[in-house]
Amino acid sequence: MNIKINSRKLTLIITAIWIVLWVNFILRDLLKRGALFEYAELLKRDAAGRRSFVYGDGLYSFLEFAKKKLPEGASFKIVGIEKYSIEHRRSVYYLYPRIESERPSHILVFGPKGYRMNGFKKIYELKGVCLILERSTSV
Amino acid sequence: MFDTLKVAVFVIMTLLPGYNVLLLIDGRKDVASLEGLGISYILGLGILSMEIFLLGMAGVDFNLWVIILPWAALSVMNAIRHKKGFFRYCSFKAQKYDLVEAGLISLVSLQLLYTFFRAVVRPIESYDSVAIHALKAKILYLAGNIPGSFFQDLAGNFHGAHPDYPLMVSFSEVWMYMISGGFDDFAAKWIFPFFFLFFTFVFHAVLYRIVQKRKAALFLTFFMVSIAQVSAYATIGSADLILGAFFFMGFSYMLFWLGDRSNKAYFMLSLLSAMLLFWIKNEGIMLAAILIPCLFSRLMRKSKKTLREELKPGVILFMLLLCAPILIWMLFVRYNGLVNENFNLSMVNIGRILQNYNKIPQILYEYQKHIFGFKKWNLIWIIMLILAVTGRRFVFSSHVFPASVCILAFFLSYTLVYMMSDVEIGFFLRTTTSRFLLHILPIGFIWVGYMLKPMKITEGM
Repeated sequence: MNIKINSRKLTLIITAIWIVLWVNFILRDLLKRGALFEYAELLKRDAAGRRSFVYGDGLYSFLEFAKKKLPEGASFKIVGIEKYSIEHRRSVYYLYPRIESERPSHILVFGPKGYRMNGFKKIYELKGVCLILERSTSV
Repeated sequence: MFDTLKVAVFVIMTLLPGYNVLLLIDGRKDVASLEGLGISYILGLGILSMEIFLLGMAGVDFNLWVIILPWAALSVMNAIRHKKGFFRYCSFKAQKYDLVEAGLISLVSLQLLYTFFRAVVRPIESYDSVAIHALKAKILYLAGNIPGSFFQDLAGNFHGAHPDYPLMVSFSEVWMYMISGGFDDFAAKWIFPFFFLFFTFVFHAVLYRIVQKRKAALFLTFFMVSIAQVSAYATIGSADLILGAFFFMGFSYMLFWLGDRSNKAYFMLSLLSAMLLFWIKNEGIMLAAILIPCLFSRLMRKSKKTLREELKPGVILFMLLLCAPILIWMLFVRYNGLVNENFNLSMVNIGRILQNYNKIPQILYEYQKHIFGFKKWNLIWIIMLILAVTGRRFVFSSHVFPASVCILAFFLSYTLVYMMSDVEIGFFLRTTTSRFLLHILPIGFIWVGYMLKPMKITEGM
């Protein structure tokens, strides 16, 4: 293979294939995977709206609700979100300085309707899908 | 939306330490203008994050003015000393570009703009970011200092936050919050595309120094920035691309210094970049260690007598200064009882390697998936493979040898880590290989750059 003679052609061919692949994967992301729609949607929204879009509207409403109702420094446990999933990580991050604990003062219920736990009483509810339970003082 | 003015202030304030340090060490004016700005931001972020950490550990509350004061003083000193030369990294001469060069610059700019857009349109949200770096940044910033029980609280209350992880990304975010005047999960995202932009400047300058052809350097720069995995990691707030950039700088400036031993700027740039490796990710310690055989691979080309002489000016000093902060950090981690469950020094033994030899096929299979999988990497690993085969007689030639040693040592080290770790190998490979490859990718381009010359591929450019 005479690389010296073909160096210009070689560069041209490699660059052409590279650009085709580059454009192809960007377009695939934008069109097939819906990134274009996502960006259009994100551009329409303010910061809270973008957060809501990225986190998922349901989860974000739940987190905003919990953030408003729980005092800073309160401890909580989340029910209804798989432990260590991305949603769980985002929730722990978003709710800080409220801290997740195995012996929580509050239980945040995302989803399961009618959730109950011994020693906790319901204190807030959002549209019947999110609950906040508080540890009963008598327990 | 985060204020444009605040972004500008953030960039200028971040440039300040690196810029002034660069003015101090680059007496011979070997560093080009855009390269200088790139180095300033990259080193600036490393220096500032370390400074905030050290002040915090000394019990000083986070205070913008305390942090910036020494650099403002140094700026005044440098301005008096250098006069007009103070702005030498900010002055650009108009250059003429042919059509191909202009096209390449446009493509690079397009990719950079797209990366900026993708980064700042979303808040902090990626897994590692919310579980580790940004979470720590939020805890630290809201505390206003480093609480005495910070590391213990992390270990106790935040499973998976890895309290032993180095803190450069977290403190960079704290720095952004200090400038923006409050916690803001959108503001922090600006750090990363700017890092990518400034790294692109350094990358191009380094590659230009290697291939000596502007067009060839631009081709390689375009290839690097357009790799999907690279641009994606410039948007999500992770530490992997940052580690790759520091490793690249540590390695490349070390080679330039070994080529011109009187050049203090290259010596210091390599040393500072390499010294900060441990501060970005735990893997940084291993990457700093890999630099030592790379250094010797260059010196080994000399006769025995010359090697002894070669060791005298700077090499021993380089190794000592490189090891000192790493040892201090390791002692700090040990003193605070911080242990990484995925991989730690207690796992390093030959018995484990021999015991886990059956992991090798799985590890190699994962590597080949990346080499031939152009969705994330485009053609870069395939090009490297073709160059290694067709130009095999140059792989161990004097110029290419250190980069070859670096790449081989990298793959050997990570393979050994995979073999010695207790983490289930399938999961470990799936979740880490694509990120680990970012650590070596920029040096892969240096290798390509050195290979192009003897293979005469750049002759027509």
